[in-house]
Amino acid sequence: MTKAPLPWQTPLWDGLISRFRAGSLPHALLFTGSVGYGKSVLAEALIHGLLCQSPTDDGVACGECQSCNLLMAGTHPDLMWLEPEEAGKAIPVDRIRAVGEFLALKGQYSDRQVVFINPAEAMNRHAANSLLKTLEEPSEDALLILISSQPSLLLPTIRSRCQQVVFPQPAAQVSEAWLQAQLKNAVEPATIKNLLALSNGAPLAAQALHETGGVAVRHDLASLWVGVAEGRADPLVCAKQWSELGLPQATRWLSSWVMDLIRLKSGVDPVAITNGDLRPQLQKLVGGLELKQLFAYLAQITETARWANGQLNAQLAMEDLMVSWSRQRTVAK
Amino acid sequence: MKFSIQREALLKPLQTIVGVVERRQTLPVLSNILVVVSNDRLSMTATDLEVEMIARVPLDNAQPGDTTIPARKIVDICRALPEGAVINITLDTEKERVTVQSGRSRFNLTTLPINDFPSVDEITSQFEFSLPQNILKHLIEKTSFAMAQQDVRYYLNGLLLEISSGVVRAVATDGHRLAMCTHDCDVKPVDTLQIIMPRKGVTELVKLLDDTDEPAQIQVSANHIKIQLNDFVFTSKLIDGRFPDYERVIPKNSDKHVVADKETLRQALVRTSILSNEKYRGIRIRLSDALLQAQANNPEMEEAEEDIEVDYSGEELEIGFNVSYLLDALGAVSDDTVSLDLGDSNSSCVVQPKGDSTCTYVIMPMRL
Repeated sequence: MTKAPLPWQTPLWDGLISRFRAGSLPHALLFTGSVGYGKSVLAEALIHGLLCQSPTDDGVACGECQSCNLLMAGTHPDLMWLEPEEAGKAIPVDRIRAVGEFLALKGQYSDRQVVFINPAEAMNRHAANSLLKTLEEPSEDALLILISSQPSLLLPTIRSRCQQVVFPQPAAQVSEAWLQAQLKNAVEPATIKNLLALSNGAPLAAQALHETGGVAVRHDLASLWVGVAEGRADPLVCAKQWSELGLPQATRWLSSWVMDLIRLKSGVDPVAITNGDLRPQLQKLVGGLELKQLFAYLAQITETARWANGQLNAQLAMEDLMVSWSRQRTVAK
Repeated sequence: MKFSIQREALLKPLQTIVGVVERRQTLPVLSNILVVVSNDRLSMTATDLEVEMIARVPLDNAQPGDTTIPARKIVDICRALPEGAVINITLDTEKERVTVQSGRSRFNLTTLPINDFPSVDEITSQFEFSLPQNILKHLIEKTSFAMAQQDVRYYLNGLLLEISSGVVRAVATDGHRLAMCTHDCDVKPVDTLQIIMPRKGVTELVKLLDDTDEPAQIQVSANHIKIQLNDFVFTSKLIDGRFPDYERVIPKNSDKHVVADKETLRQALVRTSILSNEKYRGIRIRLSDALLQAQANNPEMEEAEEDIEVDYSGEELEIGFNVSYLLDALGAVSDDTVSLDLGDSNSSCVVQPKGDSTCTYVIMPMRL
């Protein structure tokens, strides 16, 4: 199976490939855009295309040559693939130092050596600092591809040394058609629309949401969360269930819901909200809440989200958020 | 694939190539060796993506085939078998497993597909020449100690091989000292060719070379150096960078010439160095008529001093050195007498075997 870009990435792909052929690709690319836009899919397709010995006319890897075999086996000597050993863990400094050693040597098969770092914000402070030297003056044949959905967490000195490639939100029609094909037409168009809406229009995130049965989980968690606000549920029990979701996803959902609450509180009927399916529950809550408190709570969620990929203990962080949430209602009274 | 072989015929080449297989491997296939059997030859390849070694062993009546098997395990099995045992190795292509059988012992090993194994293709050689093994070994042994270790100037973490008309030269430096060894050789490159071999490649290569004058065939491509010996093929990636202009470092106008007995000087320096600063290893050298005085002291204000009789007649001079660098250079000198050429207390010292200018060692002074 060859690695190809996703349908909505064609303009980006064509741009990158034509720059590669013209020899004007920079030494470092930073792919940014929301989770689920397919940044790493495009990066992988690009790496395969660049290292392939006989790529097709549109730059996609052939999938048959020696290079492609090694790429698919994960043993290509001219590619260095850096990801945290476990999701949410940091990329330590010695793995970044190895990048320098790797690029100091010449390539084995081609003249091009590629380093892939995903997500770039997973590099801890020392790792990021030690990458700077390499990013500043890599060898001629080096290409570093950094992936980040939160580029604001990167050192400014790293950002400024890379050329940013911003992934735009895919057009709704394209995403819907793609998702429909991925899910083998087994779901209603309305469900597809709902999945995409819940994932902020990110097709890969929508697919993951569907495959992990996230919609049902989301409803359970929503009723628990509403329960905490109404004083029916224990915030600590609620926090335990939420933390199983993982902090990045949990904070994304929470902030989306709180934003909807703010819209409902301040807007004039009928208010357009993201989480249409939760409208009745959210509407019921609005009366007892204060706008100022909601904004403060949103800020707290955003702050937690900033550290979500770090060493933060998910359970404790969620407990903090849930206890604050249970107080919202008390304040409102 | 099926073949039989004597334990000793398999063990020695295996142990030689298994040195490049790193113990902690992120890629599973790199902890395997590639085994290719033809009718009359077994070839085994080990790689760590930087250095690749191929060992070749003659075979009788073998069935051809290829696979990859775990390197450490096959070595351990061979080592543990009794001396003189005959080992039968068979590949079951259906189950993708290799059976190693000898006497009443049987071992079943997993394999990985050969397509996953990143072996170096035939390299497109830009220049080829041949050099007797002992000469190549000499060039490396006399210089490799001066290579830098994990320097950010990555081009110093290796050994420069320079091939110009009629001359092969090896140079290593870490920025504080430099070692250079030159040898005449029947080569005629179009331009002077400079390649930098990485540290790991250098240390592995020197283990392969024997003290014989059998030729080593050397091929250089844009990215690799490949050295063919009788039973082994060694390939290393090259360091991507330019080596500094080392000729500029070698002082040309030294006016103070010292000649000393190497062993006497070395032992005196070893003794004096005991009381030098453990971190900076500084030592003070005072030169006066026919006398070299070495003096060292450490932060505890302990002091060592030794006078050495040398052949010197010139102005008095006081100069500081890192004693480890001096000792390394003296250790690499094989002659009995050694000459030291100095300028003032701020210029480098040149150490050479007396009457032999093929090896040159340059050591920067130290401010004490």
